[in-house]
Amino acid sequence: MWYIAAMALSIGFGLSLAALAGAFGQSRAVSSALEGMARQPEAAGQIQTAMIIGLAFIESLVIYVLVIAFLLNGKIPAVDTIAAVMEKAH
Amino acid sequence: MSLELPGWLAVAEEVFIGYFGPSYHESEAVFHAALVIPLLLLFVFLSTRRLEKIPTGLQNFAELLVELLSKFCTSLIGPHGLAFLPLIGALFLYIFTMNMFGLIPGFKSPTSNVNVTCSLALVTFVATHYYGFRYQGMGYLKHFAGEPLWLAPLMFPIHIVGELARPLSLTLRLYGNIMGEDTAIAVFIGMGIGAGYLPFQFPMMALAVFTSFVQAMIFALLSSIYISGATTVHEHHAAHGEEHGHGAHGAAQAPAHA
Repeated sequence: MWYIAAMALSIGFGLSLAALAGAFGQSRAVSSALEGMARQPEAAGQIQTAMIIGLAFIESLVIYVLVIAFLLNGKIPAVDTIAAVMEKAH
Repeated sequence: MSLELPGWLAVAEEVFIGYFGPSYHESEAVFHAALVIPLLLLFVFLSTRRLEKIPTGLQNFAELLVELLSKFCTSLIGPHGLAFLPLIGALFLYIFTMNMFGLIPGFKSPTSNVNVTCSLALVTFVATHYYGFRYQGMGYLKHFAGEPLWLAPLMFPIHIVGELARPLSLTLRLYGNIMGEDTAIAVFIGMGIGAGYLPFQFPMMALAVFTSFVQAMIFALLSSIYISGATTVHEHHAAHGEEHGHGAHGAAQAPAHA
């Protein structure tokens, strides 16, 4: 039971932590890119390309956690199964 | 593994049990990936059937696509980028169509299956190194050795691992994004059914159109950057002592070609 509880908690906390860190990194990247674009509008296209590449790299790290979360999510049994096991245990 | 709605193949198998052979819907992703190819071929055929000097309708749209994609290639890969237009353009159109396939009710995005995205990433991986050797000959191996040659024993394994990480990250990025998006849509549909058949999934689907486009573009962008890093010849490599790495450095230097 502890095993399943730890897994369920780790999915939620792990994904939220990854989303938090990813959002922080992406916000920094986008704000710097916007500053650069505002200062040099003629270089906006190049800055945008580089920004999207950076965002893709940051986002892929969050996506790794999402994939792992889905993998772990498949291992958690359904609520009915757990309830039946607990009924039997009592 | 994840929540997904039954596609039309699964439904057809329920209706005609055994007609398509056993558990045909497990290869649904491959089937849909193959289904996209005739659709794209049909589009190309219809748009180039009657070529006119002043394009109208589909031909206009196709010319716009080709022009945008060729600009994309030349700005990212360099002056020789037009040679890679068939590869990069096909990757973009194919992935975009596959991503959008999941939004049609009853159909499934083939890219929400890790096998399909892995095969796409392997195409990029093989193409990168094939064209690397073709454009630079054996000098391509110098890329892996790094700048100070005496550090090569240290840098070689690092670069090999870096090269192997690229298809992995391409695979997981596309797969995770599209699978997560489709799963979110499925969850919203379930919520809407629970709330009395309300279309809760529509805002998510609008977002999914954007995600599909961005993910297809990022795949094509990263492929072209990898190819650009492998095929751009730096003839003044040692003379100027400039650090022209590849990989992450290739991403930084790519806009300089624009």
